[in-house]
Amino acid sequence: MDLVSSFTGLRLDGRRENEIRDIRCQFGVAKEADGSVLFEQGNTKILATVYGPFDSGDNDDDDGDLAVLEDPTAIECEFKLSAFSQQDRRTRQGEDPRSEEYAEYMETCYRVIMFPHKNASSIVRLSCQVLQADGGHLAAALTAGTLALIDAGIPVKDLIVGCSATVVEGKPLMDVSSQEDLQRLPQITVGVIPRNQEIIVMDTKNRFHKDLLAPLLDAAVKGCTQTFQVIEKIVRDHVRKAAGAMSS
Amino acid sequence: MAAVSGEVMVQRSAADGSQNDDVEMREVHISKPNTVRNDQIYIPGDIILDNTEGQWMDGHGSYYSVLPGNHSEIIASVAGLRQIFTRVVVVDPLKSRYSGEIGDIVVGRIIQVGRKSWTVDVGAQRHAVLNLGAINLPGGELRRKTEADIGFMRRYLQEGDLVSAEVQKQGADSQLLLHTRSLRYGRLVQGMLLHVQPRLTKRGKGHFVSYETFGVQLIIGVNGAVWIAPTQKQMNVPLGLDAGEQQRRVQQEDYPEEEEITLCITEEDAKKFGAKDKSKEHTTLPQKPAGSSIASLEVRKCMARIKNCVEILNREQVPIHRESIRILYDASRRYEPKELLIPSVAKEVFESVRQDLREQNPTA
Repeated sequence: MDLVSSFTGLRLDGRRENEIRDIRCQFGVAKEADGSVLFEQGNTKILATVYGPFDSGDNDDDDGDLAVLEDPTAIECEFKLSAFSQQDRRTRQGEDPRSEEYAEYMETCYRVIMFPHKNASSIVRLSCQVLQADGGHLAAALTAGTLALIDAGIPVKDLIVGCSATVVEGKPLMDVSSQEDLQRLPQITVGVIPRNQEIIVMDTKNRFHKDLLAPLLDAAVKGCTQTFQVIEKIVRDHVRKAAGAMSS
Repeated sequence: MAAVSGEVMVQRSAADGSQNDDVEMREVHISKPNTVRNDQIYIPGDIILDNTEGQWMDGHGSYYSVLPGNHSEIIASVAGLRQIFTRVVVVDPLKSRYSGEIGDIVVGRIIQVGRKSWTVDVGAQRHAVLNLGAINLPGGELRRKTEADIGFMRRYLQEGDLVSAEVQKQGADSQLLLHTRSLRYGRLVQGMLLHVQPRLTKRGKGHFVSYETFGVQLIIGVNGAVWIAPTQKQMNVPLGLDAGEQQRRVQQEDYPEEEEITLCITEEDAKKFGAKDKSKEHTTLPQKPAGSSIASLEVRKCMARIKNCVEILNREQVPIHRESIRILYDASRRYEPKELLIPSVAKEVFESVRQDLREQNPTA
């Protein structure tokens, strides 16, 4: 089975090489959280929830000590792949190294866009739970996390969106689905600030020749720009709707 | 919003064709009078104003960015509506945590008893602090707090207790300092606490609401915590910290085997330090204070109805104050309090007074 049909030039799910999957969002789904979003990109479905900023509790004013200036972490991320999210149900023993790595990527990203000095001794907790896994988890989690931060009203300098890319027979494909993911092809995922095309994180999967890096990066960053255009419209529409409901 | 003269609007680079979208959105806006103007909506990263001449200042929800070539801009950092106050540019987020201001009346929970202060969770970015010096002692005694008082702190307020307090000042790192130096404030006993969006409990005068006819009083905390309790008349509960003190004494009388072992210093020790004999103070109080009695069924039903009304207002994004609660309360009388939990009933009741509620809140 070809990933890209030699006859039509379409991928298995009917997309072209430079097409991302449909994006749908639902804000404020978790009532208890400060901000939440149910983010869907194709069949990948992620629930991102933000709690905070709340007191990190590591300051004891009663001692009268000078506050020790520690690393202003400001954000703690969590990435979880639900057991029921994949084709075969698997329950992992212990911590999943992949998830920890993804969580670290997310922290790196959001630390760039947040204002740590405004959140002295307080912390933001962001959790991304994959409910349906269909490829591009990290990319979707990065985008969903940004949307959840915006929903919580936490100040950020700019949006960060993620996109993945792979190469099939020399042709770069953007936004990898699980069918494409399964074939051990070269794959990269980037977290980008689309407005100035700044790449914050990059994750590679499987071995590939260095000459492939440039086309892969190009496809992934272009995918981010496309994702951004969709996300931007979604956020604006959401704000307009919510503000309209408030004023009426 | 007042139009600002000399306002320079900078369009985002429209290479991605977003300008076409903008035109479409404007057309939608014309057909609906209640929707928000498109040029007021900003999302993080949007350039609000060119600030090369330094005439604008960045307020909440915006930041100042210096670009190469002596350019600078004011950029949005939250998604919401832009407002300009003289020179300060502000973007109002749709929702955010409570951020305190001096004079705010808040309802919070004690989470820690420190050496000279209590740590209070008020739902803000950081925990608030209630200093020992910022409370009124039980019995209304006015004096400097001694070492012995430090030992008695847990007797005044324990972990898990609810207090109403006022924000006295804001610390350097956005930490709030509270005080309860008024009979209106203090430990809260017998009642219900519910949380609403802090945006809906605006700062104003009527945070202590009392519906004498129903026998119910409310404390609408600016931090979004709403306390519903029977009125003093109903319960004959003394105000302030005395309430907590008496309640505990009654509990001890009811369950004498449960001794209070959480005290840091025993009363004998306290006497040694020269503190007044606490037990003597209490002999002046009624033998069995009515604070332990339970409010009548009628009052409890009223409380339940008010609680359901507040929840409906919260869900429908209507500001919560004396009048809005009263309007919804009156409209809901056709139903039993518990029936208001049914979504269709709640919707029907709300729709019947939607117009009245809107007239109450001419917010634009």
